[in-house]
Amino acid sequence: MPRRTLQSAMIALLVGAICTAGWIDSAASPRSAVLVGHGSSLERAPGAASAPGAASPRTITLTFSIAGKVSGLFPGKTLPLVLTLGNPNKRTINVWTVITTVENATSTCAAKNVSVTEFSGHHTVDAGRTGKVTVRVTMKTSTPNSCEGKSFPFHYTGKATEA
Amino acid sequence: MIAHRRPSGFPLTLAAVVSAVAIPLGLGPTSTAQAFWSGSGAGSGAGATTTMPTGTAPSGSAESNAVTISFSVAHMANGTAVAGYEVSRYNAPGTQVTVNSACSGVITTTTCTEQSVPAGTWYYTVTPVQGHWTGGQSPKSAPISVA
Repeated sequence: MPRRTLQSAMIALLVGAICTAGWIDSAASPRSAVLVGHGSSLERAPGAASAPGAASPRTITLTFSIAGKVSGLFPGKTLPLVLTLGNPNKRTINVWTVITTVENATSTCAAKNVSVTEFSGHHTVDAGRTGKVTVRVTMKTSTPNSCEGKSFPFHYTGKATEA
Repeated sequence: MIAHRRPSGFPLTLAAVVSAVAIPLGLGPTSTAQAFWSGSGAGSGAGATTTMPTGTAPSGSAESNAVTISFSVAHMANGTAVAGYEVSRYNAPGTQVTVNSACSGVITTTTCTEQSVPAGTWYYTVTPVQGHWTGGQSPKSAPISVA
């Protein structure tokens, strides 16, 4: 076989192999970044299983902060709770859910007396900036007097995608 | 001397083809296609409750067997007026007795007229109410005499 023909054949084979690899890769790892899970650390994103023998994918862990307090609760009252979302990363994110867990204020003032709505939607927070979303906190009318002047600890968890 | 002919252009062509195909596919050294994003948002906060006020001593007057009392609006620590009040009546020795209609139960106004009050000297108090919360009971009113 002439050398030039051999050369052309090898290039064609190489191009085909690369295209196939690229197609497999793009199917296994979509470009849209997904930030999932509370407390996950160096965890591979869903659907990101690599093929046997493939190089280990690079894992990037992003976090964002959630903070917010409310005061003045009393039986039967619903108040807005403004949550501040801090994005310290170099990428813009879309926060799409924030869930609040309420703890007992004291042994005689149970968490069940307070409910907090879930934030669900898409709130964009630019890189290095903060954003705000508002949820609502409601105290049951039947809340006992033992909850007067107390504080319910709130714990927030959220999920986001790369914008 | 044996002259080897170099396969001219092959390595260069190969590199060019690999680059031309691999980079657009995101397989190059600066690609993010191999990067998996993982993370979460977390934080803490609190929901603080306010406190109930103590009622103010009511004032009152009697006309026949009807006693009308009135008192000031009570505000919780956050400035919100309470939703209601409980009125109590005591005899001269200090025993609490049942309050009659118009002033019984939880009232949502700051004045009420108790009907059919027996003759005697009576003292009234008010206690702020908000849901299942009750505030402090007010001091007793000045004595109100019913003939």
